[in-house]
Amino acid sequence: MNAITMRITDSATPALELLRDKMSPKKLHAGIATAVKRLVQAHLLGLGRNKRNWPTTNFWPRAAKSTSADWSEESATVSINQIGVAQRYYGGWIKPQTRRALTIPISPEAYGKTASDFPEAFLVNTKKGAYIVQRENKRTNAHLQFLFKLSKGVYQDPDPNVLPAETAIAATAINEVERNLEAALS
Amino acid sequence: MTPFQQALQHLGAKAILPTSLDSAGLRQLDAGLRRQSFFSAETVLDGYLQRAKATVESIINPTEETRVNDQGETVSVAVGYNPASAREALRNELARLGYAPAEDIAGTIKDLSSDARLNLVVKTNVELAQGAGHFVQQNDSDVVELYPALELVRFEQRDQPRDWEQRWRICAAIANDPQALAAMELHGHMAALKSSAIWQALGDYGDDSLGNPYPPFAFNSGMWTQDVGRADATAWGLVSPGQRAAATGFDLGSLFLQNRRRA
Repeated sequence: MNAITMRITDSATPALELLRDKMSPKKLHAGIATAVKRLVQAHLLGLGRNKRNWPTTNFWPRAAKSTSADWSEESATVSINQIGVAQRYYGGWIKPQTRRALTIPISPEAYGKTASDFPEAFLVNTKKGAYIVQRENKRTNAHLQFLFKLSKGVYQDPDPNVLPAETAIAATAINEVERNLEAALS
Repeated sequence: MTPFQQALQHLGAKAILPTSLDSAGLRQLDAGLRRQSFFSAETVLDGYLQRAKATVESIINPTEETRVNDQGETVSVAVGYNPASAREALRNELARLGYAPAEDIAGTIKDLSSDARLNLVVKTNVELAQGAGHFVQQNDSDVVELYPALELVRFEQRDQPRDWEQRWRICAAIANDPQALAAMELHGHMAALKSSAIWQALGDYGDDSLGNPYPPFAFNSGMWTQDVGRADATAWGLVSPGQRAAATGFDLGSLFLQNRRRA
């Protein structure tokens, strides 16, 4: 009986090695980190102005500039290094640490400022609480402009909209991997 | 929290540069010297500059500390300045050093303690560190092949924006980069390869420029850059399919060299 001979040539290993050379895990993670950084920056820029439409402090554009990427063989990381962002995302209590009270801005002029930005301001105690005020008209002492309300602490609800949805982040990462693997294979 | 390492390292490498030079005089200095120094026009107070640099670092790198509050609870506290508290801290430092502006400049941009001056010092130096950090990340060899180009985009709105499209046209000509010009004129994107000389041209253009091939390209600018993927770069005519991409020709290592010269 004639024998049937089959010869199997390993063509997969060279192709896989070529793929690995072109697209190492570190490079894949670099692509993912860069793609997700762009997604996060675009999301932050889309969060818009403050709710009261007071003069902007550019909080979200600044957060976008502070968004950085990091990558290694093992992982891809995107970080937003700006104080206040995590507080808004996770929520929780904001309490004074170095002063006796927080100063909550209650006028457009005070937004994005501290009490020290108003050297002629002074404290007024009322039935509704304590306020930092300044005189609108220095000559006549008439009319007080209320700048800040003093507070022992405020509670912020968590806001998951601070970041893109996890599904969007995952989709971005997966699309990036697929696109780059396809390019490497072609 | 993962720090923005490249921004921190660039800021950390800057040597304090007390100087009596005004803005025009500082512009005459070598761009490399300026890039490697922490300075402010007509500011000779070494201690104040040290404090300003530390304040900028705190904004770029907020940290977390564990503390025990008045109720005896262990809590995690975010530590770092924002622009308003940074302004307050620097104003206090100037007062502590006995600084008082001359009458004719009080309240103006020349007054080191004015809001305008403090905001400019903080904003410019934070953004210079972040811009350098992003520039290093964008030009990493792992990234360039996947994202061969950058796009100049607006991050912050301005009441009176500069004419960036005109700047782009002029700088594309200076850089001899017709593809960058075409990307804007034909596709509506101010985009160019990372290796293009247009980025340095943008940093050198005009009296308000800062001399760097990365944002901020000019004082108080709201413009920034973002990575452009290969598909978009190809669609906008910046790179051919399969064409290899190159990183910037700028010496990235110089962003982390400590400068010991004085001006």
